[in-house]
Amino acid sequence: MNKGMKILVVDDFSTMRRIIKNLLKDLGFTNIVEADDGATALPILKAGGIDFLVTDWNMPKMTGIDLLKAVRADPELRHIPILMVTAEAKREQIIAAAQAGVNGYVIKPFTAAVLKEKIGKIFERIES
Amino acid sequence: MSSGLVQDNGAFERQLQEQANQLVEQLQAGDMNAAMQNIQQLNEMRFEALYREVGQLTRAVHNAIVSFTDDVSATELLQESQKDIASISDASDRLSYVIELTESNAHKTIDQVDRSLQLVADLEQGFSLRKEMLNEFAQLKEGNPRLEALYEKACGYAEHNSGALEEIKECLTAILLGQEYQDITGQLIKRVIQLVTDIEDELIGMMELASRVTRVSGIEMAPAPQAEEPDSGEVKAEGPQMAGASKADVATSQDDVDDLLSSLGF
Repeated sequence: MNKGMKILVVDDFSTMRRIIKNLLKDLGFTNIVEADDGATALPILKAGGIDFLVTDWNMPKMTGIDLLKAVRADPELRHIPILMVTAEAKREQIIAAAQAGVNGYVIKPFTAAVLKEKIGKIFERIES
Repeated sequence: MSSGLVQDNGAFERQLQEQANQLVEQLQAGDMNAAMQNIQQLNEMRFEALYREVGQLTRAVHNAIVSFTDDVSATELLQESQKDIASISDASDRLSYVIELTESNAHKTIDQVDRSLQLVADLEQGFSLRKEMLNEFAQLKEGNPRLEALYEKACGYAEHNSGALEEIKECLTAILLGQEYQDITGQLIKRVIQLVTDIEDELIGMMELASRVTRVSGIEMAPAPQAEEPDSGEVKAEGPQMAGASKADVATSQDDVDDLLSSLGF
């Protein structure tokens, strides 16, 4: 796993963005950019250079599930691994995210260990 | 308000009895025309009473929402923030204020965590410098029993301290993660704000309807039922699930999520 990879963190709550950013830094990732919903995240993704996307589900304007679908539908972006970190915990929602092509799903509230484990697993799979 | 309703009900019942007696008389006398008119009147009376009651209830609930602001600003707890409270005109704004307040406080806490983590990093650097000094010390102590003893003490102390530093880092991370509540409570409050706004809109609609219907005679049975939101089959955001609200279709832990995903081949 390349610790210098560029990570986009998308959440409408600035507190949560800060928490995730801090945890990622603790795991050694320092190249992090932020967006407050899907609509602001998409142009950043399209501008290129994002290696990993961490997104919330429930956001105004464009939700995380729509962002996930938009990324998977775009030939330039579809390869980007996506981790969903969300309070949405219904079975049908988790299934919908899996079907839309999410790489990992963490429900809030979460622990640093869970976040670390899921990120590790995602890159283990991609690299193998 | 409730006593008013009871009185109205009493009047309604008395008039109902009176008209019913009249109706029986009219029917016995074979005056069908008057009887039909009487039935029509009874019908109108029933709707009138119903709409008056609904109207009064609606107004009462609306007043309760509006006066909520005054009640809460009088409490001691919020007196310090009275300047902010003064600008808050209704329940929805008040709830938004809760989100703002918790958000800014969560940020303050994270600021302190960031600062503390920086200090821990500085200490760690100091520790590694000390380790180098201990290494130099190790070379000097050879052949001197008093220095040997001092060296052992210094090493024990260093080990003890580095464990504490690691633990402080873990505590700080736990404090950081503790701020997650702001996101979760914020999402729940946003949903309640939406609910309060929707209810108030509906109430105002009902009040308008009630006043219109009581004014107009020849009552028409009122509003077309609200078109239900079409189910597009899309899976939507629902917000955080409440602990304790047991639902079979909700994953209550990360383990449930993992089980579900692995059953789907993830």
